[in-house]
Amino acid sequence: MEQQIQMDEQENDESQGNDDQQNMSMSSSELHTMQDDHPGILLKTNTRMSITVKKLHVCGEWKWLQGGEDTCGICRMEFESACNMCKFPGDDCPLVLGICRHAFHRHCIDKWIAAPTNQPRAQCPLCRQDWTIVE
Amino acid sequence: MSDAATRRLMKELAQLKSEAPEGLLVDNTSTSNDLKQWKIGVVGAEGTLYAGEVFMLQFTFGPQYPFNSPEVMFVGETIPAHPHIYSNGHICLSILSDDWTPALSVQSVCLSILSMLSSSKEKKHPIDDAIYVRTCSKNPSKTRWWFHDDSV
Repeated sequence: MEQQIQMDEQENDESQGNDDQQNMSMSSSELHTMQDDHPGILLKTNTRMSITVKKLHVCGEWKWLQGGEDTCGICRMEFESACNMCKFPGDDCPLVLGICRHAFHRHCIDKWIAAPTNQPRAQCPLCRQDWTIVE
Repeated sequence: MSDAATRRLMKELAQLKSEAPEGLLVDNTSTSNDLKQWKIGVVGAEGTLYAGEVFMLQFTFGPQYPFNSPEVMFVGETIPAHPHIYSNGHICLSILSDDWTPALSVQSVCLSILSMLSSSKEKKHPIDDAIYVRTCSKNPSKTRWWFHDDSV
């Protein structure tokens, strides 16, 4: 009998937890359109505190899949920054990876490969193996 | 000087100033305002023929740096006597011409030259010093180098 009661309580707790989550996710879409003069959104909590969300600051971060925590060996900029010759980072200034696993900004390595002394074959600036891009 | 070259040189300078490796001397007077010319002091390593001696290396960068190698030579009162260093300061070192890559830097070039000094067994200029100094261009990167000895 006792066990039965405990089970019920647990179920109650869980369902309440779910309610909270749903509440939160619904609120977040509301927060999206929140203006400065909005009174805020009251969070449903299990504590005696009354919490009102007035403002949310959302931060995002992106990283290239190649490259890792490093800088381009040619221009010395972080991989997630644009290369030396570009103003804006991202899809317009991508990375390429060689079969030697060394990554560079595409614009940097292309400029190196195009040098007259590197014809017909260029080498990786870091390890001097023949440079071939991993597709 | 191109913007790209200047930006990369600024990065290199900041890093050299904040964490200069042992044996390299860099200060606020090391570079010209446009960063086109740098003068870096190199100190001969302990236990080598050049221990404690200070030499001055001069770097001159073109607008295509780092895709083209900088012009690097010893300048000043004392030019180290070394089998690969001519008495006019020109240095015979493959990474300064044929083997240059844009991943090299002022720091890596200085350290290569310092290591070249350290492995020297004899303080003397190359055998063809007299004729080379008389006939060479002022700019060492105009020289077609013939690398005859890789052991030093």
